[in-house]
Amino acid sequence: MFQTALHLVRKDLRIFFRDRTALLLALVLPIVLATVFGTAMKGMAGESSGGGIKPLPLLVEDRDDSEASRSLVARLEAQDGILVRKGTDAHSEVRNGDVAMALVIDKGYGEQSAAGKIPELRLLQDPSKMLSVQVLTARMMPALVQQTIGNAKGPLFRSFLADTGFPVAGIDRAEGMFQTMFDGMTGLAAELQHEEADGSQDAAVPTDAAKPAGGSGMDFLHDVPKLLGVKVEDVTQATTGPPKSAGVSHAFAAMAVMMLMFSMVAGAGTLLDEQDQGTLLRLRLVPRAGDAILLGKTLFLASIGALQLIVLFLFGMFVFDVPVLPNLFELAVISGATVFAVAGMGMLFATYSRTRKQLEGSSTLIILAMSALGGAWFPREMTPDLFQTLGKFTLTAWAMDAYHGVLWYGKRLWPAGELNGVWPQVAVLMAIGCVLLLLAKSAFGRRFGSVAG
Amino acid sequence: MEDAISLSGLQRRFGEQTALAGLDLVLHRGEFLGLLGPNGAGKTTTLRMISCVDRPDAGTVRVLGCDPATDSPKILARMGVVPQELALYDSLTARENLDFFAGLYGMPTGQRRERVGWALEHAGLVDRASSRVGGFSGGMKRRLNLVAALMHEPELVLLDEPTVGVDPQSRNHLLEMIDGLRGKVSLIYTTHQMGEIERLCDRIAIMDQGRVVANGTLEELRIQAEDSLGGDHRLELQDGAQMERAMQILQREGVACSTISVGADLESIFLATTGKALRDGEA
Repeated sequence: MFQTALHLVRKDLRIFFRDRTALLLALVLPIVLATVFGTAMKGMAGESSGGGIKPLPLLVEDRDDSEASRSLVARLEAQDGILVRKGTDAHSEVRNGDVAMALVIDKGYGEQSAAGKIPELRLLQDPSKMLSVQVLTARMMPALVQQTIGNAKGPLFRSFLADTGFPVAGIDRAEGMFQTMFDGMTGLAAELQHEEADGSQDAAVPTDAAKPAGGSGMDFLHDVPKLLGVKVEDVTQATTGPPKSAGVSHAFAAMAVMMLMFSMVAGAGTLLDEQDQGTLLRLRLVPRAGDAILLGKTLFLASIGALQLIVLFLFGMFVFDVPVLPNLFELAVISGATVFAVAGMGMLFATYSRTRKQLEGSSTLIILAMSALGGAWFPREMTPDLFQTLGKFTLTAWAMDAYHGVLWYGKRLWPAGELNGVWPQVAVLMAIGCVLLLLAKSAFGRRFGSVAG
Repeated sequence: MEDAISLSGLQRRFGEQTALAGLDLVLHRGEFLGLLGPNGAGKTTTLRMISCVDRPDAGTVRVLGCDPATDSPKILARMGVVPQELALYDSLTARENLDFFAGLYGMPTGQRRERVGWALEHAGLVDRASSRVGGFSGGMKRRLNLVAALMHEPELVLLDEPTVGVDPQSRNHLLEMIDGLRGKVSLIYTTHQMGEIERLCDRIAIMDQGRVVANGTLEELRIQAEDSLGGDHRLELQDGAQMERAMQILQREGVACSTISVGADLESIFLATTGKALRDGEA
């Protein structure tokens, strides 16, 4: 019995190692996905691919342009993990999803600071990029504390002691003791940051441990900045339709694109089925059939893609309040362009694959990689720069940007007010579709001959 | 009137492999031509040239008076091809399959309905018209496969092993269907079943190594093949009862005799012409 079993194993192994698709799925796909996930997770944890802290962009709009405001900007620039970019229209950039967070230093910051008051700052944030927001907030804290408390701590401390009836004669000595203690804490903070930069600590993602002992329920993102005079503003609340959730918007955009790719590649596989069952030959023997076959298959894919998206968004509208009706026109246009691009991708896969098995193996690998790089699984801005660059070459990223732009940011097809339009994404998707379909047509002609056409 | 098909000096290579090496072949109008050959002889490549799917490296092809290189739509509109594979959609019913294939030729709805009715009747599938093809027997599928190629009333029909894998009854029905096309179409029939060729075809062309090595009616082929059949002589008997007496006479006269054959059959001719070595990998 054992001999027979071994004999079977040998035979199955021989077949397995000759099956390129099986090898691809069993050996290459896990490596690719683990690499993509691992690198992205590392990025989300704040580490760069080189092991240090991955800097995240922070837009700073300095309307005060005083010595104090410039000092704050300099502290932020010196802070590990923050890539300061100066701008003049912070609200618009956050509103359009170009940056996750922006710090606005309003007029009067310098004067308030000189007067020994805690000066006011405004932190504009995009709640749909909460991970970036959390990490950035945590990384800004040392600079904000040093700048705000550092400048105001003397007058504040003296005022506090006077209010509590502390003997006036001891106020100078008490302030000296406070200064010594503050300097020690600043040194400790710098030391801890250095350790984080060396990777000896988890990155500065706030966790439950960051909350005060006893579970006071303090909101790190809002309460701590508030103590430092920072007013936090969410600037991307819905302007159209019912209240929205960034998570729901992202999930529906991601699933729409990823599942569309899977179903349309499967649909394109009917071309290979036709080849296997001989009907493709019969079709090719119809006068002028060459282009008609490709067009017919593409329209078929477009039909099932449209049906799939309609069902998905209707479900989202009724169950998750996805704002479909107020954005119907934009969603229709984006869906049309996405379906067109994905249909082109499906046809390209089908015309280059020899068998359905080969089609399924290669397409699974590429769809999953594109989904990861294109932001369907985790925020693109948290991934390494290389991945963000690669992501721009995926249709997933363009489609995700367009859907998310409409569903979350309330963008229209054309620019409106401070909002950009999504027409560039739509145009890129259409261009991708055209290129992929032309490549598919060329491959189809080469493979099946064009005489019958 | 020009021949239905005229192939002259056709050459076709696939890499190092020669599929056609100067093929000459003619199909006269209204004629049924049997195309025989071992695997790799070039039959499929020849059919691909005729059906405008492939082009020769050299030589000329004329089909229904047209050049496939420039007039393929004209040719394809007048030609029906029955591929070796069962080129049908299993998920569709017999009627839906036929309606689809008729629709490909731009037939109006009324005419399409009429042709579907004719095809179902002709294939003996009226009772199963609304059944999905996936549940059909091999014979039923073969019959449907045949009539699907006739929906647009072609004047030239190419049949590539149309009876593979069917039982004798279905084979007989198929052959009767094909025979029923006589006088309406010109036809090329490829198969490895010699009996089918003998039954259907007016003329037979035997191919080997990319060219026609024998060509003519069955009688002509018999005469051509006599030499290659060796030193055998034919003894025609009136009936089987004379066989025993003939053997006794031959034995008494000391005539060595290993085989008694009542006329050379087509298979003998075929094997004598092309040899008995196995051929793997059809071009």
